[in-house]
Amino acid sequence: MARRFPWVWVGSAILLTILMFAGLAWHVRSTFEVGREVAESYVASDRLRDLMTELQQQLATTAILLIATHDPTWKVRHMEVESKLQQALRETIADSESGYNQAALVQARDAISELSRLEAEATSLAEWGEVNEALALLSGDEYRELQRRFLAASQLFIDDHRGFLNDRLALQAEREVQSIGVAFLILLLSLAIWLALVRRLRRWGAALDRESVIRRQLEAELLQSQKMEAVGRLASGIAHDFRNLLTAIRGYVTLARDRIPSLHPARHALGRVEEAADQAEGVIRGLLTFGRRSVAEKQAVDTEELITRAAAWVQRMVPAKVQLDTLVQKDEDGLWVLADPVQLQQVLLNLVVNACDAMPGGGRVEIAAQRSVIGTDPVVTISVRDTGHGMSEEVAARALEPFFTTKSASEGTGLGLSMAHGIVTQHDGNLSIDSTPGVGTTVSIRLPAIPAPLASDSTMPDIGGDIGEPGHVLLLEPHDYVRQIMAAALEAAGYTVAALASTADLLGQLRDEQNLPVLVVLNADLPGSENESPVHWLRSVGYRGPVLLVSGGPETEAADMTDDRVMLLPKPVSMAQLKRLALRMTRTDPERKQVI
Amino acid sequence: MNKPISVLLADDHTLVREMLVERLDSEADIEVVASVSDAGEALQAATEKKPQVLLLDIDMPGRSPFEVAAEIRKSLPSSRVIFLSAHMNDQYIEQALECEAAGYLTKDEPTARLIDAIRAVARGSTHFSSAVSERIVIDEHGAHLSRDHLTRLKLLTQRELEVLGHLAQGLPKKTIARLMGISVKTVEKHCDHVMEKLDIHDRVQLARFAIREGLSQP
Repeated sequence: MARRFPWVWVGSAILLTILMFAGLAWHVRSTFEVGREVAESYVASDRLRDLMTELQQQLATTAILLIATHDPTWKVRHMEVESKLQQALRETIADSESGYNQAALVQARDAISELSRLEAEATSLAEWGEVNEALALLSGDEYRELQRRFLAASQLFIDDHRGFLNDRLALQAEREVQSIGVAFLILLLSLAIWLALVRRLRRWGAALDRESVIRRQLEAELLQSQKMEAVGRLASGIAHDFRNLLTAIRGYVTLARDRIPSLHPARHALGRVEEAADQAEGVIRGLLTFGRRSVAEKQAVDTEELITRAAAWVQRMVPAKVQLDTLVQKDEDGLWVLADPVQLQQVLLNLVVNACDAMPGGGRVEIAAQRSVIGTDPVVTISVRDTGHGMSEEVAARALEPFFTTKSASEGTGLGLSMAHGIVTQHDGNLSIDSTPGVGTTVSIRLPAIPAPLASDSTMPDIGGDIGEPGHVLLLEPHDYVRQIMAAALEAAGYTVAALASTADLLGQLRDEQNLPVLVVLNADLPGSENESPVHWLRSVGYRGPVLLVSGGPETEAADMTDDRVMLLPKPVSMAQLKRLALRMTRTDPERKQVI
Repeated sequence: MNKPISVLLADDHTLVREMLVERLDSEADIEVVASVSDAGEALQAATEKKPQVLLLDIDMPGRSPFEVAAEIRKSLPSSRVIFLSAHMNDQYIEQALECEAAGYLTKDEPTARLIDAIRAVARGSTHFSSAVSERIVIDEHGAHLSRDHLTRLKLLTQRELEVLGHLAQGLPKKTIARLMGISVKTVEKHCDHVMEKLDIHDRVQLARFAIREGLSQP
């Protein structure tokens, strides 16, 4: 699992959160601004109305005082007030952005103009001495009607302006709802991102926990394997010294036996010494197997067949009270492993014996096998399960150590499980113990699975059958050591072998009519045979029998392929193969048919 | 009577050494000319006594017995070495083959077998246990221990491999002959040899083998 920190997620979550708070702050500020502007505008419009009303009253008052007193100061004052009022109205009308009702203001201005016109008319009547008419004009219906119109226009202006301000407040409230909605959405989005982030971090945490558990397990396994390795080395060392002593004991027993008469009473004692030495030898083999110092002969083994054979074999050792079952889960790929079948049978025997010992009152032992895949590697798991008394955790932890046993000294050496562990490790496998006190124990062996081999590759233990009919073989090989080894292999196959180093020697042997060879094994790269193929040479000197030509290079191939009884064997050649092919070439088997 | 086989024995375990000397000397045709407790002494004694057979224990302190065996092979070509060890070990066997040892025996084998081995080696043969000898492989460089004893493909020549590849693809022999520029008879002979060497006598099995070994695509 890739674990890159999700910077993009964290970044977007932080950005959204900042955006949300910034939006909210802007909104609060704008609401405050609008509120302040509305409040100021309220006050300003009230002041304007009051000013206009006051100026209009001052106009009427100054006009009446001018008519009554004829004092020119009132005229000047009257004109000042009038111009002030006109200017205030002009300015207010010109301020289109303040949202004032201009129609109402125009009505007010018109009313003021009409009032001014009547006041001017009254003033000029007073100048003509018609004071009463002048005063009657200023208190007449027309003048009052114009005053009423002015006041109504002023009130309309104020009402409209308040309406405008109320609208503005309502708009702001609407905006407030919108911006709170957007902020809420942003909040939801950032919450979702934070939640996703928290979930991911939790998953990481869980994965880290799992990893740390696995790491601790691996460390424990490593420690255990180091311990087993050290114990294995110790076991090998002990076995080595012990075997030397046993060699001496057995040798001296043989010497002693050779030197005393056949009826001497000490012969029996010597026999017992030898038996004891043989038993001790068994212990040493176990130790060496545990210490992985013995040689495993690995081959393709069908675990199903192995279990069937092993079960039949161990059945005799299983007490009557114990039921032995096998359970093989067949698989279309087969249950094949690369192993030493003898060693694997030894492992099964040890495990079954242990299982039986764990059930003194009887029970059930099951040997099972199944194929599975761990990671990408196919494995075959063989398990031996018992319903015995089980092991405590402490016992299970030490069960693989050599000489560790819970049995009495006469019952067990404490090598069974450690040997099994040694063998399984040598086969690139592993052995695990799962035990519950009072319930039982399962020992599982896991080995790498291999593809099912061809029928002819399967080589379960097969005793005999490799010895050919006696015959004389001529072996020509210039390399001394290689010749000796090949000769020994052919002798082991049952032939008498004349091991020769030169073509002259070979010629001499071929002329010995008393001892005609059944096969000639020849090094194809023999010095001095560059001009003529060794097979041509053999045929030219009269030998017509089979020839096994062992060659280091391909040059010889074409030349000798015309001869029916010649087989070319390229190096490297194992001695097992040499034996097998020699036996095939010298065996006449009319029943074997070739299908191709 | 023939001259007895002269044997030099080197083992650091006194008990074992003395027992072996006594046991070997009890054979009429064997004479222990020297018994020493390490490989260095064995080299000195061998130079002096020129024994036919040297029995060298592998696990001795001091000089490596393999080194000493290699030196003896050079300086005393007529003396032959049999290694003795408390156990079988691939690495030891490999080294023994490298210095062209005449044999390798473990100490759990009866001394009678050791005596047989001494006689065989004195005759010019070699003596390895059958489990070991079957795994010995010879190639251009001499003898060594095989670690991949399951591969039979190595038994086939280049031409045979080619024929096997074609056969596994289901080509008839005539076509194979034309493809390879050889006669049908030669193709048949190659087929026979392939089957003999692989010990497979049916075409389906042969195809499976070729696929498994990567010679042909399924």
